[in-house]
Amino acid sequence: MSDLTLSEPQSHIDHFDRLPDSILLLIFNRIGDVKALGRCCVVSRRFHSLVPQVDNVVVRVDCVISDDDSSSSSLSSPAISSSSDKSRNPFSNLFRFVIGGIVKPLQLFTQLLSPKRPASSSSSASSGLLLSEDSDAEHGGGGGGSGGAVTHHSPTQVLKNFNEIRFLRIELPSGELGIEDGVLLKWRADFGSTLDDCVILGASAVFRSPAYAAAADAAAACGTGTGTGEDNGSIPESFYTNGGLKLRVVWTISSLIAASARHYLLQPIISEHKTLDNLVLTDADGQGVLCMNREQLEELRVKPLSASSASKRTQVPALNMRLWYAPHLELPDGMVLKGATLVAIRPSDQSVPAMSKKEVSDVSWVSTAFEEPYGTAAKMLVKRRTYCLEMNSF
Amino acid sequence: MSSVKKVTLKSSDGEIFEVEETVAMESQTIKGLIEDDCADNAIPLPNVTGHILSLVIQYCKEHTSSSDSNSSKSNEKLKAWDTQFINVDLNVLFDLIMAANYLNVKGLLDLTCQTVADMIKEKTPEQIRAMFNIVNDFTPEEEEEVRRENAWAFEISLKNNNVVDTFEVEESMAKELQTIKNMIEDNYTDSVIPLHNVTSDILELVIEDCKKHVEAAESESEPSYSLASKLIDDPLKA
Repeated sequence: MSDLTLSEPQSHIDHFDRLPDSILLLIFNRIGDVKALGRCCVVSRRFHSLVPQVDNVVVRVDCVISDDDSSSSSLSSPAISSSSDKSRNPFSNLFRFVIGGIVKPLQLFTQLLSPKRPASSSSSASSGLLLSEDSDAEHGGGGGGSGGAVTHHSPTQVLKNFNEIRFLRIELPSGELGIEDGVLLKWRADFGSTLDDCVILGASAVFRSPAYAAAADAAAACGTGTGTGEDNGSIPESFYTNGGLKLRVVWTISSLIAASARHYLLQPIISEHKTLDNLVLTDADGQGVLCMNREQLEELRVKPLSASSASKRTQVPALNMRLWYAPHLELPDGMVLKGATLVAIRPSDQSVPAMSKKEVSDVSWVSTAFEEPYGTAAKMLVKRRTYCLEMNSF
Repeated sequence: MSSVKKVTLKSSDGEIFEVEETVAMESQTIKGLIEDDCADNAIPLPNVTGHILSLVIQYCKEHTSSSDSNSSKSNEKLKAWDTQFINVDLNVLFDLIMAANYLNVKGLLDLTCQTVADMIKEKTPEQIRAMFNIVNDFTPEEEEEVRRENAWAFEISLKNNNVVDTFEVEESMAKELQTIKNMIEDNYTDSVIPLHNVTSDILELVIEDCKKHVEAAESESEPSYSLASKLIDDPLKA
């Protein structure tokens, strides 16, 4: 077999010659980044033949494009996330009416559309998740529809060379939900053909407790207003009147919309890559994580999703929700969440009648939904009083 | 003094190593031999030289003691040790990969493969070939075709201000701009490159200009920077 004695210092043999394909694949599987893998294809014939067998791929999307880009206006900027198209989306109108601007209009993600390949001519149907833009269409310069130097590549396109992906992770450049600084909002959703479960964690303010360094004394309710001393686990009355409940409803609905829009987008990728074991669609802000495991992926292939009529996202089924709230939550690491809210959501036809013992005690999936430090926050919150809500399908 | 069970390992070049059984069992291959009672005499390992075997044993020792529940070695310390350990030249690194594979030491195989993967990740194809002495066996036509298929892998993004006005440009073009060239050489190419001082219109003009320079670069002896390029390099303007 191959000679494993140390070669001379100045040897110019190809190091990879010593490795069998299986090990080269082990290495490629640890690269992850799809662009790096694309570059590997160009290195040599051997690399080119092995890259399609890589089973672990991470796609970092550079920008997200709206389907409603008007071609006339995008002379110089082919890839705009249109913040100017607020009024064109019925949902964003609805939400602005309800919210009064607490959450930035959700037009961004409601315009995440199915990854159609943009025509290389002047049509601006450049939609969907864009990986990067190709500078091949720029001869003859000048503006016009195809814009400066650019066309777009969707993840579907970029992934078409890979035949055996088992672990796929896609990262959007940012979370879809525009929230104010200091506000915390995170969601994690699992989908099959439809929503299987979703956990949302929010807080109206997050900061480090200034007293943390000195304070071993939690009983001294000094200076922090409503300390945990007078907290009996229930939601204070003021919550219902000061906009607190409304805000939480908005958080919940926005998160579900974001999740269902992402789910809708993934269909072509899922149907094309049948070897997938695990799919995660997250964003660089860590705001929302959509997960699908093997069974869920298979379910989607067999039983297609129902699309919502209003916009390009999956229909959200009727839901049972459990909510926990803490006006002031101090985590062991010193982080403080004000107005901390945890919502655990499941479709109502899945769960046993609410408040049954099994349902109530089955919170493990809720407390493990988030990474630290938020996992700890969730674990603390589920010990408090549970509130149950229902929501219709939308 | 209770005697700790030891096994004897013999490398391809005849070097003998006596190691504790628990340490040796980090290698699934050796573990199998021990459990099958084939380990009474020295275990010959014809595929591993003494030098590499000693490194593997070092690794196993470090990782066995850390899996004791009483061990004070934190994960971070172990990671730091690993980083130091794997800082070897390419020949040794690849020898370690082969040895870890043959001896079936999972942690070491993961570590070595990840190290090579990290080396590959940030590099252009030319750099990869140079680093590992890989021969480019594509014909020019084939290479062009493969590059075209994977064109998206070669572009970097330039982003205007905070709006997602992203222009994807070919690296060769972007290098016309010194600022960006420096960023590229610092391996800052995976994320979108923000250009806070430049508006879309100007940026587009600059890109057009760069393209022309790149196209003409073959005939020109020296790249000449146009006024627009100077605009980028001077942060006070635009």
